[in-house]
Amino acid sequence: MKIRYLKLKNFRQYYGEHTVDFATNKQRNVTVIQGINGAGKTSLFIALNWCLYGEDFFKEDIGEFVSKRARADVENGAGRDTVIETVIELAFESGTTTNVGNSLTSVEIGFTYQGNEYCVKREYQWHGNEATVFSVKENDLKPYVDSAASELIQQLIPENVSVHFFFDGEKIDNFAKPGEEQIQDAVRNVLKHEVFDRSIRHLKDVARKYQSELKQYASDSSKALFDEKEKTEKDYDDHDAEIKQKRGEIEKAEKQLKDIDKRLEANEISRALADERKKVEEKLEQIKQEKSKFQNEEIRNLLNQGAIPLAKSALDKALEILKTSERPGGIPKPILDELIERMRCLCGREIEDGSPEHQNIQSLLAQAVSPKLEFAIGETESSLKRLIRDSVESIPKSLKLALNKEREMSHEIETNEARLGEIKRKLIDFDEDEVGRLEKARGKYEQDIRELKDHVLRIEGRMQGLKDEIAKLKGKIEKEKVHGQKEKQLKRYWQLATETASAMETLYQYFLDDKREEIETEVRKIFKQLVWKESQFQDVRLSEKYELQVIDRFGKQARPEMSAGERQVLSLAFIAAMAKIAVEKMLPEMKSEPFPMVMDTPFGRLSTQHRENITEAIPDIAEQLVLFVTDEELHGQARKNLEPRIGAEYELQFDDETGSSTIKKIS
Amino acid sequence: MHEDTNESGNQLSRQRNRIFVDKSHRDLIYVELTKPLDDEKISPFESMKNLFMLAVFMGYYEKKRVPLKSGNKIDIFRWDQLSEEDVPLLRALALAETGDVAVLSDQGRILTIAEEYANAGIMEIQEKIVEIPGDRIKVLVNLLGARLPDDLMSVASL
Repeated sequence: MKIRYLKLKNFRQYYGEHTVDFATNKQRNVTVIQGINGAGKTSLFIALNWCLYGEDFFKEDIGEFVSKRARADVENGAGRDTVIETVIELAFESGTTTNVGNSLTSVEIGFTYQGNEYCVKREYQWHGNEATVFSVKENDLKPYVDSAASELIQQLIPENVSVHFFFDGEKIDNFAKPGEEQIQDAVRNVLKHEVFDRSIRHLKDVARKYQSELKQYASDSSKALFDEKEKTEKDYDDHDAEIKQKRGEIEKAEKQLKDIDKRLEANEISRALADERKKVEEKLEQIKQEKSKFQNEEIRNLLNQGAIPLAKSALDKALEILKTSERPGGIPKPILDELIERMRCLCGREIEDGSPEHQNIQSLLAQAVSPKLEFAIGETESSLKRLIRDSVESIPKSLKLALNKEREMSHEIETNEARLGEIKRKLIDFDEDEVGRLEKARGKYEQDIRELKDHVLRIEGRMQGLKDEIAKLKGKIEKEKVHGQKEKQLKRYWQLATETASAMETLYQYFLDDKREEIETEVRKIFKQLVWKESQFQDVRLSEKYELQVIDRFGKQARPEMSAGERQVLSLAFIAAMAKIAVEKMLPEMKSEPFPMVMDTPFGRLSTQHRENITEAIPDIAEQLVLFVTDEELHGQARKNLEPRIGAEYELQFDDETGSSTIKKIS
Repeated sequence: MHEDTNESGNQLSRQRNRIFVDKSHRDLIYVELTKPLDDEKISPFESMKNLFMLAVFMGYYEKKRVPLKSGNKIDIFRWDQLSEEDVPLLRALALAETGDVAVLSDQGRILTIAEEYANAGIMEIQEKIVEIPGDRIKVLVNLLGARLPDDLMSVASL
């Protein structure tokens, strides 16, 4: 599938008609759409998704999608007969470059794509009443409309696949942040297996059915346990629903926060402070991560050796005992044995029976310790000396140094936090209303996010408790005695269903783990393509917890020290890998089909060096690449690298006076 | 006192290998302080063994030694999991406690002494963990730092 053109009419700030023809050439496969912040890049991005999936696609409020100017035209007397049309036409060809020959396998599953041309059109009409018409035209056939059209699009480019192609650059960074659940969500989303999901759901329903039947036959005590279990399960589900809702709210608030930041960055008065804040926030995040790593590694390591310095008085005392204890004068038992047997001294003199020498040897022999004890004594003595010399003093010393360093880090965190506070105050106090208002709103969102996150943590804690409780109750129920034949049978069925469901869940996990490795291999391949040659990063892993990890050349996990830019490279690799896997898994019959990748401001946080590397490699990660970039994102060497691959280039121009954007073709 | 070398040697090979703690301590604190949490919040101790070693000398520091109740104990690791630093530490403790060098080849006695000190020391640790909220690594490091001998801390402050 390749996108051929995008036609907009009165969509958001695009007043009138505008067209973008995308590069479809295999070599020159990159389309660059340039514009400063606020020029309308994101609107184009929204247009693509709106056209394909309609308004329901957007989780957050995207605002009015009808051009305000066009609406004003109608309202200001252009006559009641005038119809406002917001039209987006998205045309794409599919399969023309694949080499499937005459095989029409795709026909069998009910839709053709090879060489077919589609024109997707979503029209919104406003004429007193609202009306939206959605149509997909396949070649010259009669168009599919509304639900039939939606169905066709969902078959061609399912929504959950498309998120991997149409990628919002602002979300990029999230993938490589530690502790993000987005990766697991993304992987699960792509690998979601309906059969597993349905079977597990079904088995759980069956178990519930048996459970309620079993309750009718059960003793009072069992009944009470069942009631308790059901109540606890319900409680758990309620918490689960609540946590999902809260997470949605967090996501929304974070989005709002970013929108405000964008506006503050675009405003001349607040730009400098907003930019500084961004930097301070990044710095702060970095120190926090470093501090946490330091605590988890250095300080923890010293704590784990804490017994050594704490044992100092015992070590001193033991060493003293070893020094003063009456032990044989260094003559080993085997030698004493030999002397007695030969009755001759080492110097050659004979030893007479009963002589003082003979008695002396005999008494030494009586005190002689076993070779094993002898060994233990010797070994202990030298180990104690070594411990006292090497560790007893050095561990407290290192501990003190480490605690000092930790304090310094905390201080640095405080300083940066204080600076953030200052920036906030300055922004709020600005004379210009807009900035102060935005900043106040920002503060509110920040607080909301903090509170929501705390709330989520509390719910998670409670859910863990409930989970343990449910397991305990289940154990108790299983131990309850059953009497009647019917009850016995029902209990067996109930157990069987629950156990099968949980076995199925385990299997599902195994399946996901397998796939995780596949994704990991793919991410690694692409990461190595994107990362600069002299990189200190050697490898990429996708952990069991679905966390992206970068391994440095010392074989250690390097992520805490990664810069925002490096994290972005990692995320890009992940996104590209997921796009590939998504097609393979969800549209297996289109595996050899080229797919486009649309990226909104992907290089925003990259350093010059990363940008240069990425621009060299990125045209190869997808057969058609559409990049929405700011002018700052793409210049110098980075631009030169991309130049031979650019097939089409546009510039978005925003006119302050009319509040409208136009799309200007550059090449 | 060391009459028979061979017997002594044999004793060594038959000596007990497993290290015991109070059952309730295992669940409440040994597991709690070593179970892996999420990546951001790592457990304070790498192993139950490391926690046991700290507990031993925490008990020794407090001069508290509490025998384990038989029938209420459970093993948490084996002698051969002790590191090359741990073994001399435990031997030194037994030696300091008994004043008898013969204890050095008696693994059973060494372990009993250590277990009894750990039994008291772990309660100190648990108390502090419950008492002071916040980051556990931090709480434990402070607990340790406060108990290190003055001369060591003055060396450290150099």
